Amino acid sequence: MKKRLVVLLTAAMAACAVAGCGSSSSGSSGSTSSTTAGTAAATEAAAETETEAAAESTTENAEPSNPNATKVVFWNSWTGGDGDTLQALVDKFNTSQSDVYIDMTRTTSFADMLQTNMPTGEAADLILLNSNDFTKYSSYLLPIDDIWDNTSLKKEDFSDTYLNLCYNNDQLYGIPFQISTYMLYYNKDLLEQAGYGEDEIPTTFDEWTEAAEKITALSTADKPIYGSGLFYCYNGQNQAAIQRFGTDYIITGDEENGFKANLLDNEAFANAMIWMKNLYDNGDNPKEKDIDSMMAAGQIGLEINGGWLKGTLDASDINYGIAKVPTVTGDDQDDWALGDVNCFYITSSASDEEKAAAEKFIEWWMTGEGLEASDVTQQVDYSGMTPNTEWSVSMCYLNAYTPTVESADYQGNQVLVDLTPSDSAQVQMFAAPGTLFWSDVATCQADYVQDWVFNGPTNPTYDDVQSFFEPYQEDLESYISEYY
Amino acid sequence: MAAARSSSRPRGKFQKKLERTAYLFIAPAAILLIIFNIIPLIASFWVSTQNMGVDLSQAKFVGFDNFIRAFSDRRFLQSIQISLKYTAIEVPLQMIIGVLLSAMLSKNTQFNKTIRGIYFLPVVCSAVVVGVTWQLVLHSNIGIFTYWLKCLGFTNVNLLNDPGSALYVVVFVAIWKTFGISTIILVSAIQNVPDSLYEASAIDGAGKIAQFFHVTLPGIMPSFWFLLMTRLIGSLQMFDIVYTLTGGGPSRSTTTIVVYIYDTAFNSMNKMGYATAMSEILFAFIMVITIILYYIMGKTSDD
Repeated sequence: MKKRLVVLLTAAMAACAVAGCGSSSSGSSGSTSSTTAGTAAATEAAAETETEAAAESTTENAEPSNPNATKVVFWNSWTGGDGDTLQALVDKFNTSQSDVYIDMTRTTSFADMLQTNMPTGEAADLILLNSNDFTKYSSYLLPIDDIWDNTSLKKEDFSDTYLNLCYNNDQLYGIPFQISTYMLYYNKDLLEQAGYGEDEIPTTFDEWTEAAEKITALSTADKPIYGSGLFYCYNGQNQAAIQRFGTDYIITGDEENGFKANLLDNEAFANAMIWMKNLYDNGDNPKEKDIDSMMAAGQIGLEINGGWLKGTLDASDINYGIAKVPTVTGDDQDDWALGDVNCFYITSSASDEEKAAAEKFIEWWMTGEGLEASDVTQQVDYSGMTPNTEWSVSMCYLNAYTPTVESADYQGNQVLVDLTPSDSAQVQMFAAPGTLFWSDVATCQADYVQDWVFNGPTNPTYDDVQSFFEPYQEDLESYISEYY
Repeated sequence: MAAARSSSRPRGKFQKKLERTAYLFIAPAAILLIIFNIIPLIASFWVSTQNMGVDLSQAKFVGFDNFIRAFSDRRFLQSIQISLKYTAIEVPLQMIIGVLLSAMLSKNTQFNKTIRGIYFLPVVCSAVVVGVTWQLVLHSNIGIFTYWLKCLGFTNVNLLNDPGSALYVVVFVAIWKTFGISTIILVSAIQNVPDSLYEASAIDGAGKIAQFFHVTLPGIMPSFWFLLMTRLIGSLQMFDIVYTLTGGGPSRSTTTIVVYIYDTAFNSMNKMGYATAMSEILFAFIMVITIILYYIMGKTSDD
């Protein structure tokens, strides 16, 4: 009996000790783990992953010239092709004055770092955050209504549509940084080889399909080429395409009138999914999650992505162009913005002094002097531009700051002008503004697109879409009932 | 009798003093165990009865709702299925490879020592390095392994982006990373089997294969059970390699239980309580398996 009890207790202790060990390594390492639940275990393993990833993606900042400068820790996830320009601009700020020093960390683990550091008050003072996540972190952000008094920035200089997304309970928490617009990138050489003239860029999804087929036909045994470059697992890119079919939000409505899941009985959505599935099944779109590198290697004809790809393509030697994402008819849909807004937010980790210093940096970003032409690679003459304008023009990011939008440099960029939505445009991509479950919807979207691509029927019909997406419609409805 | 009683008295005092000293020695470990294991375990049970965000804010008591919800969550059930499938493939393969290699490398020759060292190298590599490296090796477009397969005439090689093959790739990489430690543990177990048993069996006419099954295997059973149990538990908790190699995809085909728990806890709003409830379920599941294995292990040892 005693022996059994010992065995039982030992077993319980062992299970208790190892339940926290998410590592796949054998028990010798498991016994050293000291957490107690799978979640904690996962965090631990992810933290290791993220720490290393962060270390890889973090750029060293130059030391401050003035040791008494107010240090503002600044975290963001700009690790794509645009990250180097952001770093260069921050460096410019640091060298242009000596009172404030911006200590920036660009990391792919941004979201996890925020979640684990915000509650302990050890997060960065200043962050760049998608406005969709604003409600998630609002209790850890500082109201910054005083920015209108502390700096030369004026409220009326910002687009109401975008600035309103930064308000909660009539208090301002953020300043729009960029509108992360999705665009059509096309390989000019591949289009030309497929028989298209210089200005013949697909403007409808049917034309996309046709061009994709012709470009894929250029493949050789040594170099596979695909006309279409949709990522099966990239929800932002997929949603940019799906939305241009006229689908409306995945979750429509508002808190007052109720929200509604919008996958079923939605002809535009069915058409979008059928279009997407056929591209994969025809072999004109690779089932690959690393499309950007294929685009940079000249293996993709058409791809939807944001400005963060531009830096990567500039660094490659491919001959590419940028245009608006196609629609069903080719007519514009400027009542729908093609992206979300990202904003500067100051967190509750910042002291009053750090908050004031962060506001000074935001003011410089909007009104200061940016880089010289030789400092970045986008072949744009930046002389006389503000950092904000420079950022928009070099990266093709739409802007919510009117002086930037109205500047000659911004207006001189035809792509930016073409991409600019109407003043009353819907400015989010997944769920109607203000919904609390944005991240659940985005995750659900990634799930159903992948499930559809890999497990959906070939040559699907409208009815196939209705039956296939029924469980996902139920998932979305469960989120609505959970939160409201 | 009196003399016996009087002589036992000093020994009793000494014994008690020894016991007190022993408690002092185990106190640091016990305190750490209580702080970092027992208290969080109890706290996590409390979290699992709440609806709350990752920052533990806005907690709302929901009783056992999170547990009930888990068993009707098709993604959670799918992740259990994937974890069980992964475990069912990985553990037997790992054990077979470990036993065979350890039998071949048990003699302390210079060659065997070198090979053991090489086999152990992946064990000391970080899971992130392993995941990223294999991602590049198996990349459908630029991967060297993919290139070799194409040279051999295979077309459309896309191992990481095919739901049918991705889990097997994860199994392969996990075994590749950890078989070294299984081999080393079993090698040391084989080396501890007394030579006299081999000599006696040889006198009885046993060949090498008979010796392996009737002398070596029974001799390494304690280590074998230990490895089996830890591999089983490690497989059920698979996270790091999946997270870095496939991220749980494509189409959730490699989303193990812990990957799903992590996604739920950190990618959704207000679901830390639910994620913790799933962790508790995993904990209970692992504990049951551990108890069963301990029982079988004890019974086998007695036999």
